[in-house]
Amino acid sequence: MEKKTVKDYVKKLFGEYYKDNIVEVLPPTSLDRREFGFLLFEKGIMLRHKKFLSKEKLHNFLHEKVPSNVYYSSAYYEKPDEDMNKKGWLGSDLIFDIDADHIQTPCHEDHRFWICKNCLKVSRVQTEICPQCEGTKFNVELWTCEKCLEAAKLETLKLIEFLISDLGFSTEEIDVCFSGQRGYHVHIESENIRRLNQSARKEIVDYVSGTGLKPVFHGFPDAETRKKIKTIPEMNAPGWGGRLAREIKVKKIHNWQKDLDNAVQKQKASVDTVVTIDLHRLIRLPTTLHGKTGFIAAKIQTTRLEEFNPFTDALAFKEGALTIHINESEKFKIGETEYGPFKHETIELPLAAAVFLLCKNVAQPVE
Amino acid sequence: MILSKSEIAKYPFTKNAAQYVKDLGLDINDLSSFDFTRTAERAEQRIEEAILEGIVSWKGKSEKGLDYDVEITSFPIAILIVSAIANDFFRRRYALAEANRVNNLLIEEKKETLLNILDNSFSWDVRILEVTISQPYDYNIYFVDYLKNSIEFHDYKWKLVNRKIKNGKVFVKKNELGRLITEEVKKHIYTRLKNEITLKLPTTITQRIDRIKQILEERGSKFKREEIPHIVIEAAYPPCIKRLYNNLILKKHISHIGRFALTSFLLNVGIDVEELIKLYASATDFEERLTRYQVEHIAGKRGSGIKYNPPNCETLKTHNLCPGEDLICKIIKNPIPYYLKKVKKIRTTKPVEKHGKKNS
Ligand code: SF4
Ligand SMILES: [Zn+2]
Ligand SMILES: [Zn+2]
Repeated sequence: MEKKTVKDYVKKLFGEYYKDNIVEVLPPTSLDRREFGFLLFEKGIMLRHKKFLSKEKLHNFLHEKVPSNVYYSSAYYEKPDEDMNKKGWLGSDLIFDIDADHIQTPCHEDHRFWICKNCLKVSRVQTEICPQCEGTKFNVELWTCEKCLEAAKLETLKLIEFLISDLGFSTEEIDVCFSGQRGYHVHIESENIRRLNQSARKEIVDYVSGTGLKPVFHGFPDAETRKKIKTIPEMNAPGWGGRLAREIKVKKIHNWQKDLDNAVQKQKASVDTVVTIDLHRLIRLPTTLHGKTGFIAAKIQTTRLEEFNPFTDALAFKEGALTIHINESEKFKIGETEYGPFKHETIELPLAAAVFLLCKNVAQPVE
Repeated sequence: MILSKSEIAKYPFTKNAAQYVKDLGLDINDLSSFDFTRTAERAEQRIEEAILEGIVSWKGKSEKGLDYDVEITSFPIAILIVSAIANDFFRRRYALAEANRVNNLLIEEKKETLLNILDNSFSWDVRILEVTISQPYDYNIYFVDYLKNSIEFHDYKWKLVNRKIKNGKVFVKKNELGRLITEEVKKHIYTRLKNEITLKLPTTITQRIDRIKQILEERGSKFKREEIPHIVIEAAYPPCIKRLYNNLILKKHISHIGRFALTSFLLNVGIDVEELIKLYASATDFEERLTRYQVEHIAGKRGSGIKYNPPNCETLKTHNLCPGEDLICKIIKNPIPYYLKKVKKIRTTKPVEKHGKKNS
């Protein structure tokens, strides 16, 4: 089966999902102030500058177009459907993107793979010429890895701790969701932060990521004064003072400056700076499907984040099975079951596992 | 809490002050009905002080019988005059001079007074704290209100990440809250100065406007930007800048204030922003974006929009950035005049060495 028809097939499945589960798709607040963007299955076209006046209109659009990915603006506009410079910015939610790509997990280098655009052969190393068909055009893809997602979750938990204890946001103001593929998004909707400019947002990112932090401002002596000053802040001191104090074991210090730097590295939350300071960002609409995994960008209660597992809790296609031919695939887990690794195999898999591989573009349905 | 009359005179940007002016019967739209000769005089003086000294005076303590009414009403009239002249450089200068005045006054005030002023103007979420040995801060302020102005300051101590924060509240000392208020006052006044003046002004005002324009023109040439040669002459850098410049090239550590001095100096003598960012990028491992941010801020492209001058020699000396005076140093107080004097000297003695061209 051809590549184009794989897309058609996935689109059909997405369409069925939206048909049966449309009540699960929640519009953002202030719907008529938001810009929407959609990636379509057809040639990866991006539709931008869309506006919807009601939930029903948005739902109808999903039924009609069945996009592979759905995005909305963190910003509020006077006229969301106008060109960028005529939109009339009214404010933006404060958003954070925690992406496994930015976290140094032991395996994070291993997840890139290349798919020949012509014959769909999967290569684990970058090549100029396809060994199978001598094609020269490739798509770079990223594997969705459980360990990397676990690491991203840890960063998200740290971030939430910063947002609540330090910056004083309430759990009601914080929305956490699975990004659908390789990380988590945190949205803060509050009148207080809506009008913050880019510099102010940069300061907030720097805060949670410990950028530009100088321990001396938190009551830590520097390498020189340390001989005279032995005290450091209490472990329960608020903010960064307490965070660093909890990491530093005063008695057995090797290299003061290095230990402090390490403490910052351990305590900081790794977030993508660019996303937070971009006032006009389009971000995935929670509760919609991700075109690269077939998973739901699920909303997660802040208190339930710790036990959240995307490979069981974000599945859209829970019933049925599908026979597919798999070119090549790493091991992965869906629910309690492990699958793979596979190489040139035709096999019947539960629908969620099959869709996952179809979305990853490493398999085709067999009819 | 309502501000006292003397407080209104000190802080004429507050809501109480606006109300007071209204109650006096001074109507900006009908200036003919009010005898404001003395008010207009003081307004002109405020502006003159701003141009010549960079700070508007407050004679509340020294001068007996200071007429608070004149002091209070002269502020909106001065705003009117500056707005009418409609020169952006001048707007900034005036806003800064009024803000400097406020900054000096706030230092003397009690903790509660700062809070009263805020209630009466910008309504920030600020609370007074009890100072103890282990708790040296005078207030806490909601971090969003803090960020409104802290982002304009360069020093690392203002970065949010270097502050003590709990439940959204940033701990600050009184002088720090004073700085934040001052910065807000500056922005507030600057915004007011941008209003277009369409009404017909009485001759008492237009005459003053003409006089002020003249002072501005004279002073403008003294503002020496014009005197700065079109090419950058490295040989005319003062010793402090030479050393900082060499340290940069040699990739040696430069303190924050040192970098500020170097950057503002180079921008002032005509090296452009892009060139400077390139220089920093090649000589250091500073993150490009951050370097760009800082350089552009100092160049006045961001934030307050004010182009910064290098610190005075006195400041440089206290930060150990002065390697020792030479003959020219003895007659100047700032690296820029040094440069201008030295340029003249070089030009009369030997051919010019080129570093780079402005507008090339
Ligand atoms: S006196 Fe001033 S200009 Fe001269 S070297 Fe020292 S700091 Fe620089
Ligand atoms: Zn191929
Ligand atoms: Zn991984």
